[in-house]
Amino acid sequence: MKRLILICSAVGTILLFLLASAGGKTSLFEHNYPLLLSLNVLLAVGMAVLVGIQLQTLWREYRQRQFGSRLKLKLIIMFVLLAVAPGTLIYAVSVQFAVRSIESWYNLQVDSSLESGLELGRNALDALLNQLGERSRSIALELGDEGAPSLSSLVRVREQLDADEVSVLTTTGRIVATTSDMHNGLAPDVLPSSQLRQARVGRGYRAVEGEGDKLVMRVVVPIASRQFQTDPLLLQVRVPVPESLAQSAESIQELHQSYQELRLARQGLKRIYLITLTLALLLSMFAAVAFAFMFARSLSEPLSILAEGTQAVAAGDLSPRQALPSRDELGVLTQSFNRMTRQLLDARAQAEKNSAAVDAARAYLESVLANLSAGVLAFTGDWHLRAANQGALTILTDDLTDFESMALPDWPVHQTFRNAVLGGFSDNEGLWHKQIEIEHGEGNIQTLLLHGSQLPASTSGGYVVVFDDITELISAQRNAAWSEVARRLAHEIKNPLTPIQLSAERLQFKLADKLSEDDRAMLNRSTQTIVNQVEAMKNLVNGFRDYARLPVPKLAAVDLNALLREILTLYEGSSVPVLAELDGDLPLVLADASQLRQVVHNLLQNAQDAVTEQAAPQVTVHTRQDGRRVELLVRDNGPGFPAAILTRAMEPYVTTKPRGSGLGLAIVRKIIEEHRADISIGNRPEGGAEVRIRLRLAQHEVVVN
Amino acid sequence: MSFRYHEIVPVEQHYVVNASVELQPNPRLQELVDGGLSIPFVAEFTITRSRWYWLDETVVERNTSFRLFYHALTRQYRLSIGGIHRNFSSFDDALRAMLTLRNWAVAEHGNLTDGETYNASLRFRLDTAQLPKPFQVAALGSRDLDLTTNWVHWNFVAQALDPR
Repeated sequence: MKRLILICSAVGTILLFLLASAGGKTSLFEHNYPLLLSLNVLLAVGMAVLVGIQLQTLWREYRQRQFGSRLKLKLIIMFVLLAVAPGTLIYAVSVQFAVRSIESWYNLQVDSSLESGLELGRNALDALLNQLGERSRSIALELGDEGAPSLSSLVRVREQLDADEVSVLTTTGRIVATTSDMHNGLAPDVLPSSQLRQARVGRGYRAVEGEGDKLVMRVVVPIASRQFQTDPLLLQVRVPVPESLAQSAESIQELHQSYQELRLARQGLKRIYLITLTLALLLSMFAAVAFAFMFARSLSEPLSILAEGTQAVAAGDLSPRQALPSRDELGVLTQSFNRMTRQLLDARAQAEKNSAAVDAARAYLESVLANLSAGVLAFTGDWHLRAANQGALTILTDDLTDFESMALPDWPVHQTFRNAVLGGFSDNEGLWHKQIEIEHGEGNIQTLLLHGSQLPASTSGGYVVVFDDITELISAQRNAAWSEVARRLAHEIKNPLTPIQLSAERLQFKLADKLSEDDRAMLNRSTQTIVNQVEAMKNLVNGFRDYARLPVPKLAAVDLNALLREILTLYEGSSVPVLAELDGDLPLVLADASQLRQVVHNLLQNAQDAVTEQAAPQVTVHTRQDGRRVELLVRDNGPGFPAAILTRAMEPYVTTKPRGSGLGLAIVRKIIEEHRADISIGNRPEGGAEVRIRLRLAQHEVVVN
Repeated sequence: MSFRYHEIVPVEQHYVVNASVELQPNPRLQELVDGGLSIPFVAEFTITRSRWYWLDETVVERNTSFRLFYHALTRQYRLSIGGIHRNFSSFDDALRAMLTLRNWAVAEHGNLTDGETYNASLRFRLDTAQLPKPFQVAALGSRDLDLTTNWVHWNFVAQALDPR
């Protein structure tokens, strides 16, 4: 488009110049004026179409409210006003001026003086012609007197009149005799017969004729002959007009002719000026409008780029925009804009990197916290929960959902915990430690160790509580203590038992014969009692010893099913039948066979004891593989574990049996722990107790070793 | 304007064209001539031979210029044909003389092959390109100055006169 406009403008300028210069007479285009004119008109129409297309494009953009179109329209209107207003003014003035000056070229004075000059010339010529005519007449009279004119007399006449040619003709135009100054041998020019007839009467034929660029007077008069009445002859004389007079007359004639031509051309000339000026106006106006479009576009283009860029930045796209290479302010503006977006992009990338680093650090911290078995709770300065790790939720057995929205003093649950924390912070400055016990009903006690610390005010303050569930730890300590006690008791109590028994038997042996029948019976009874009780005490002490001095298990691959079948044969005749549901495809387990045997005996004994009062007593033993462990389950349909002792059931001296030592499950647990296996006890939903032991696989151990 | 008749005939050494143009009385033309304008006319004549394999061959192309103007000094109308001037006392005589083409030698015998068929084209028109510019512009839309005959085309068989 741009190139097209430039080409059109250049061509238009050239054509206009040619059109204007074609006003001169000697121009190359004098004879092609209509062609030139139509080319110009064609160009004007072409440019009008160009401008029209541009206008339509702009109008469409304006209608679509495209960014920059308003500015473009405004600029174009401005440009067009700047170009068109002076152009139109100059056009109007030029047209007036040209038309008026053309009119002023013609005035009556010039016209009439030229006419007079021409008349003067004519009169002069006429005078000469008349003079020649009169002389020719008299000569013709003389020739008529002579009779037939001879050639010599004609030559004489020619010299007398200084004529170019003297001829004698018949009235039909036939040449009788002729003499000529010009030695070209051509026949003399003869008038048409009608004019020859005219020459026969009156004063004959007289005329000034133009012959080429010179004037010749021709006189044809009759030769009055008395001898030849029937066929009169004519004398034709042709004399050139004297050179000086001819030239003057001719120049007047030429001037007159040109003037007349100009006068005739007046209307056409006016039209030419008008057309040329109008074309110049149209072409320059269209060119101006077309250029206005170009300039407006080049001015509004950077703005469009900027607008696009701004919208893109607003939408979050910071990719670099096309920058204008120009060095003016608009170019600098787009370049600065690009620099700005680049800086924004860098800043955003930096921020993203930083936040990613922070996120990673936080995620790391969170994963550390989450994998901490200890519970961590963080509170804001006004005691609202801010963060809690997985450990805390597990220990408190609570999801703590919605606890963020209420302050710690308003917590409806975990009251012991709450009070301990509040008390800890109110009683201490800075770091504090506290051990609390939480009762979960019916003697199920959870022991927690709390550590509290206040966060520094620089990190917006707040409190952190870290707590551990040390119930297990305490249980282990208790076990260890009991072991020690058992060992001591066994040692201290067992020693005197044998002397006591021996002394009692000795008393009976020595005194039995010396006493009466009644006394002897009483002695025997008492001695028997002592011996029995000592025996019982010995058993008790042996139990303690066994518990305390459980040997380190010698682990080996054991076929659990075979072991169980062997044990169960011992229970075949018992009052409570034991059902076995054994997994036939059981891998070997890693265990000390003799200790495992004791475990099974203890568990079966407990189960049988539990179901004695049931109508349909039932004890079951299951084995099955569970992943990389083998599970051994012993179930009964008895009353189950009382809730109060469920958590402590495996501690020594915890028993529900009236005569139990409370060591059975304690020994079981101790053995299982020595095996690095798991044990869990619980009550079945359908009633009855269940003990679950998960033993390690022998194969697995071998692979590890 | 139109041709009243047109012909091409062989004479001694040449082929000559005889033609006559009919022109309706044109007061505007006389006005211009009387006003002092020199009116140029041109007669254009071509002979072509048709060729089946290519564009027609132009054998002969002839133009003759005429100028008709009024010589105010001698009160005569002048007709220039080429370099020859003829004087007429009336406009109509001059015009008639101009519109009558007689013995216009257009080709020599040697140019044309005997017995061959040729196509002749003839036109007579006002030579606007030779008019002064203002009149060129005026002639552009004027019916009075739209003085041109159509091309007339006719076929003829070249047959030179028997020298005997």
